Amino acid sequence: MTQEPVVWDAGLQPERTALAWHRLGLAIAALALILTKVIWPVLGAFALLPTSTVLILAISVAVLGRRRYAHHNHALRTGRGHLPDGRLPVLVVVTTTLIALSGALLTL
Amino acid sequence: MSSHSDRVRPRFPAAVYNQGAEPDPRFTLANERTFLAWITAGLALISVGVGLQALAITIQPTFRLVAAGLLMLAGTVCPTLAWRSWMRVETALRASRPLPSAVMTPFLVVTLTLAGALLLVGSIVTAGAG
Repeated sequence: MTQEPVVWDAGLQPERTALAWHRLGLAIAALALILTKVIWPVLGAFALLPTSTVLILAISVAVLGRRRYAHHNHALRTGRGHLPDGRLPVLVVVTTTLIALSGALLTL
Repeated sequence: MSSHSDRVRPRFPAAVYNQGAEPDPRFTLANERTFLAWITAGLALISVGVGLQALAITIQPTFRLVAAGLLMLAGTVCPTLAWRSWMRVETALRASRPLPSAVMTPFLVVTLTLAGALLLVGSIVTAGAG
């Protein structure tokens, strides 16, 4: 008899939230590739520098979202500690605004 | 009181966590997903704006430029609005108050309608000229 996996919430709320973080990482990666297309004719191979920076940001968002999920799960299962606060979200706000601004400035 | 001090770190932003009681964690998680959805929407707006210009889509250039500018402007302010909205919802959840009215939705409706109209007219002008 296989053991049922124990989930904290039948609605899989923490898992869906983790997937939302992964999706955001993918969206940032997609934008990085589009921006590369814009700056490549101007910067040539130097375009790899901003591209790789944004790609690293994209991976970081997915990884940090994953860690946040682990934190969520720990807090919810043990009933100790709190859910993660607004630090990572506000960091995401600053980062994505900067990426958006540079995208707009490069294009217009 | 300080026996759990290793785990007690003031949560950010204090304006949200200083009041009310802990809400149902599922609501907090749903609020976080809504926030992330708006961030992703902002990035999509930027991608379309950049793409319109970068790929030189055959639409009357002025209409295309204004539409792209509008989309990129919206995409740039989207994260800040999303953060504001997240704070207001989380505060309302903690205080067991009704959720604030949706500000983000009309914002997106107006932006997309205007940009869509500009691109439509721009396409018609181009098709007429060609």
